[in-house]
Amino acid sequence: MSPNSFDPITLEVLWNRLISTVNEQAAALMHASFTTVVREAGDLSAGVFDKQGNMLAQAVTGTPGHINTMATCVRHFLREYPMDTMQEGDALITNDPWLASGHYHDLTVVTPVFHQGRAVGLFANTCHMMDIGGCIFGADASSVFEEGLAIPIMKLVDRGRVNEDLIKIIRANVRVPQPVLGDIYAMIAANEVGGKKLIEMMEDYDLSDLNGLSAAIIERTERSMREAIRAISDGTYRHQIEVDGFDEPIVVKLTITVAGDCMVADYSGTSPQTTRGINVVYNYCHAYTTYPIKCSVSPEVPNNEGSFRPITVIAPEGCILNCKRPAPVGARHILGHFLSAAVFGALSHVVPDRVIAEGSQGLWNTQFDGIDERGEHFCYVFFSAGGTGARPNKDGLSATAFPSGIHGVPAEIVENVSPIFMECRELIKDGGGPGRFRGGLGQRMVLRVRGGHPAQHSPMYDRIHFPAKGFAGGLPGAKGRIYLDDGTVPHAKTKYVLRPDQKVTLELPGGGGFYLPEDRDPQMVREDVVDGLVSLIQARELYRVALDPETLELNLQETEKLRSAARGGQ
Amino acid sequence: MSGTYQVGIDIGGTFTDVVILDPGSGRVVVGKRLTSSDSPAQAVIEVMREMLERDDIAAREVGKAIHGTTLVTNLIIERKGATTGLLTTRGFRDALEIGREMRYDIYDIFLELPKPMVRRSRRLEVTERLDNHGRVLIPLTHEEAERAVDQLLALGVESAAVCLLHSFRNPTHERMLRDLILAKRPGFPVSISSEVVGEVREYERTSTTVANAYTMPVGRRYLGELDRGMAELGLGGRLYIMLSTGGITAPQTAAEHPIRLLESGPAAGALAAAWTGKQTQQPNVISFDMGGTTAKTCIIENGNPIRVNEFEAGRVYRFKKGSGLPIKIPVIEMIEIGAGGGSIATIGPLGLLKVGPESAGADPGPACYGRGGKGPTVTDADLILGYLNANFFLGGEIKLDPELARATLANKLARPLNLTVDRAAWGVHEVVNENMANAARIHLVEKGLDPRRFSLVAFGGAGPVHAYQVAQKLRLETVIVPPGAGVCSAFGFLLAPMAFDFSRSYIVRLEEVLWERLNSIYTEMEARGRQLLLDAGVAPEDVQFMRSADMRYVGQGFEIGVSLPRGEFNRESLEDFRCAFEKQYQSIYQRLCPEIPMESVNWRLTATGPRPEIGEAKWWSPGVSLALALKGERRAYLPAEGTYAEVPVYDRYLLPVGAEIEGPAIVEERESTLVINGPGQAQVDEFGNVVVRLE
Repeated sequence: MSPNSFDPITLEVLWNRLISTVNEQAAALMHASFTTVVREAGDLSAGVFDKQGNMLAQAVTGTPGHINTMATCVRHFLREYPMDTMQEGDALITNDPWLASGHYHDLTVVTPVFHQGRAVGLFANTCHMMDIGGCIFGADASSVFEEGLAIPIMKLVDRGRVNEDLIKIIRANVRVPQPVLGDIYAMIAANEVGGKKLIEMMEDYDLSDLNGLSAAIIERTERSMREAIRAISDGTYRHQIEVDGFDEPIVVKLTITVAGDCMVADYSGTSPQTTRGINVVYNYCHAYTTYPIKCSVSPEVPNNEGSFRPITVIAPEGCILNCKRPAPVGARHILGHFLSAAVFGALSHVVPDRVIAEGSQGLWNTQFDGIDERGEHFCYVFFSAGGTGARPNKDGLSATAFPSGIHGVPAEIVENVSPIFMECRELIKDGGGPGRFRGGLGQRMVLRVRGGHPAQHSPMYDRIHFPAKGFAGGLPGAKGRIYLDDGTVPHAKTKYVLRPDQKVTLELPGGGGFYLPEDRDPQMVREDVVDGLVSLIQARELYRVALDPETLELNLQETEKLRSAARGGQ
Repeated sequence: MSGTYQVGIDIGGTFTDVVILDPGSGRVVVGKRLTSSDSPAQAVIEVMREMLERDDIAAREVGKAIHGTTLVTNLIIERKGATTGLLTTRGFRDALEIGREMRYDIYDIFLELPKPMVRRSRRLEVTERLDNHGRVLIPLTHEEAERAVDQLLALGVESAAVCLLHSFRNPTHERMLRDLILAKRPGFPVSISSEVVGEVREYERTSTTVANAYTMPVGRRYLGELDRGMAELGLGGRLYIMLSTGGITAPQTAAEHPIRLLESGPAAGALAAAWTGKQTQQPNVISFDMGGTTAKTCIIENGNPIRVNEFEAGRVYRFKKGSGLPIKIPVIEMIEIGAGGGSIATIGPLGLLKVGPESAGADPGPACYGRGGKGPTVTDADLILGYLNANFFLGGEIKLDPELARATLANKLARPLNLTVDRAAWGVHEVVNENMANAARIHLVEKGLDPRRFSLVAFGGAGPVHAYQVAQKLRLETVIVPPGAGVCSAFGFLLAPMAFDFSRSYIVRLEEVLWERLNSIYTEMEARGRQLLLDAGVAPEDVQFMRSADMRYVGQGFEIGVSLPRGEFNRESLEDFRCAFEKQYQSIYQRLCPEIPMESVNWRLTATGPRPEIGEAKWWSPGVSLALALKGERRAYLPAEGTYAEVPVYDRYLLPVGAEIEGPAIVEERESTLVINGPGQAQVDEFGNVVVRLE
């Protein structure tokens, strides 16, 4: 069937059904998962693909780094195992960083679906594993070989039989086999749930293949994406951001060129790859570049192959956003999460009302391993978020992940499944960048490890040196900090040993503000002071709002004076 | 129970409905009035008094009155609850605001998160700490408790919530704080998390506890007024309150746990659907309640509506999952989507036809109402398709104008999409049905249920109009349309058993269960359940217990509900537990996980009184013959043929018992229209249900 054989009603109906199918796949995955990374944090993606490997629909949960990389990597699977060589009951697997989502910890499982004896499409999902062997999830490896077990594209299930040899190898390589193998079973099951639903849909609508539907979905999406790009003035828009890096700052240079209905994002001029595990593979760079573009340009259209086609992402080989093997890539998310700041910075020159200020960006990944209270090896990771950047019409979000789509994990869960103990988890006063719209606040966590044994802490933290910048006159958010209770400041990306009696404090960065702080509604400043989100000093010195230190009553006259003095002083 | 009247009272957002049933004769009388937002209790008393007078019923002959309300839900949606203060473990007052650190829509960079019900300045910290086993790491001293409570009360709050870390393992500290508050202010509304919801995850538990505190003062006042008012009317029996689970409880108990009432109205609708299923020998039904702005669906398996332990209240976007505040309460699981008769059809950004969630509501309503509504709505499409009678909508109360409907569909949909008006109208009908079927499908899949074992029970104004097509999409064989679609919820109240739910967290691997401990957990819960039921007037021999547990493989974080046997547990129970779990697990996820041990997280108990006997409610007197019920014929769209044809139209009120109708056909009643726009056999059963068998 050609794309035109679906009228706007049938297509709407089938498309919705396809999206509901992948949502069912994702729900099955999260419910059956053995790790808080997948089910509580939602570090996963799930999607359905046509026979050519084009992504047709993705689950509405998940995180862009997985969704958009999965979209690319299914094609690599098909190159290795062409569709006509696959059999019913097969499932394939890989964690190759360059082909899939950028580091060994993410496994991708791809399952072909058969209808009336013929392969019609594929389901895929990507999940972060609790462990993958090697030197523990972290930023400090010096080659990818140290970072764990490599699983090239291969069969995980062969005509219904699980590849026991592979399972044995995995079991022998990882520190915590149970949750890892449990999650692999969940990944297989989720694709099967999706496949079953797809077949039902095809039966209901008498479809013998997905070709026509696929063409129609991609064509519509692509057209709509192109129209949205065409509405943006042609031109070249540049932005540059600086990121802590491992030891040396990294410069990300981005040039976005809009020409008609095409957009090119070019990272030429960006720092070269480094010797430590913060390098980004092209797939991942592509994923976190197309994602913020879509957020700005065309957020309401479902994400699929058609959303990517009008956008070209260029990252010269050997630069830190397109690193070459065997570069270490373990903590590639840190830099990957900064790309949205570069994209919004560039787009702010042309669509300033559709971007947000810089936020904490890189998710703060906290990995611990050691011996727990029962004397067993434990390995645990959780992700935490600082503040997001302010928006041109409202404040940023405190302690909320962006651009990552993950969720936090409750302290009670962390303490139940690991010996990690949280002494506090609270918002940081004055952490949000002042502006007419305030950046989101970061959070402070104080951690120790119970059980009387030293534990290895693998920090993956950024914005220790470079704070989130504000936009259009907004001020930067607070920088991040890591320190021990004796005042020692560990390196933010290198493993170290935390003694049983030691506490580590993490202060996550805040988001940048939007517009001048002295234009913020004084009443909103007062509310923030009452709630302890902003100090009296910051209110006076940066927002230029006068409050009675005792009653916190707003002094409008005094405020007006402070503000006109500030404006006059400029 | 003969001669003892039973009363169901439903306060909805718009209407207050009252149903009085005489179980002896089966007579049902119905009263309706606009809900009064100022004095909802007073409005109920007044409509009751009027009905008793009008129908000559002595108040003392009323055996029991059961009531449900959306009042608590609306307090949260409209943020009109009490000024509430919160006490938390030191270091964790922001749990309520940090939440799960997530965005519920990954592409919307302008989204808003739901605002916490307690602002930060009213969240105070207390020095104390338990570990994850409930062991005290930092004791709560009397001085510290005193300091915190004084500070909280000095804020001038009207209600207090207490949620300490791991308190569900050991409630001592929370109780200390509560007792101190009550010692200082007797009768002060206090909610402590270990009693409101004893489950792990501090954000969800705090959110739930705070919601309870936030609604408690209004809940107490309102339920007290209602209880007194009923007593003043001279009611013979007691007033009971329906919970979100479909169980009922005494007003005093409900007043302490107002959040358990959140979904009581829809729960009653589900009970009514279950009852209809029972009448027609269909224990597995999907209820389908489609009104003006939304459609709700709920799954009833073996006569029992499926229940879950979470709910979201006060969403930023009504139909967007995750945009609300999590409330962990047992609730009949209801999926609500923005698809009703008033839902507006538009052309989406991709040039495809979209329906809802925006709705024209009742005012101005669909374009065909002729009240200035611009449409095009689902009702406009249904009218064009010949499914609705322009002169008999709401019994003729509203005249529908097909020309207005055609004009708006032509201008807004057909022309831009390059379709005929009829094709566009069918498209609106089809898209809305598909949305509904998708919602039900996900719901079924998550429970591992096969839709084909279910029948559809359709009610609400638009439910029967769409039921046949929705059933077809779900591959169901039977659609049942009960009588009295307009007051289904109020009627459902009469069907609720007295019930209380309890749960205790005790996370343990199955092979490590301390049987004595487990038995004592159940002994304690059963004693409490028994006491509450006896207090509510249930006879000791009628008390029943149902046990279940939330189980999973060790390391998983989502549990599945597994039924447990009664009696003493011992080592032999292990095998029963294991088998029950594996059976349930396989049905959901297809495969088991070899070599991984199983554990249980929460142990649950439902204590119930007897199911109410309501005899056979008679809503209508059956007609004489099918021929007399035939109103005529009307041109209606038949999708299988892709064209219009003359279809017979029947008057539901004149149908005799046993009447058989061959599809395609249309059956009209005051509040709704049953549309069979394809082949199928409909039969009127002795209860007045129209049962349609699809082919």
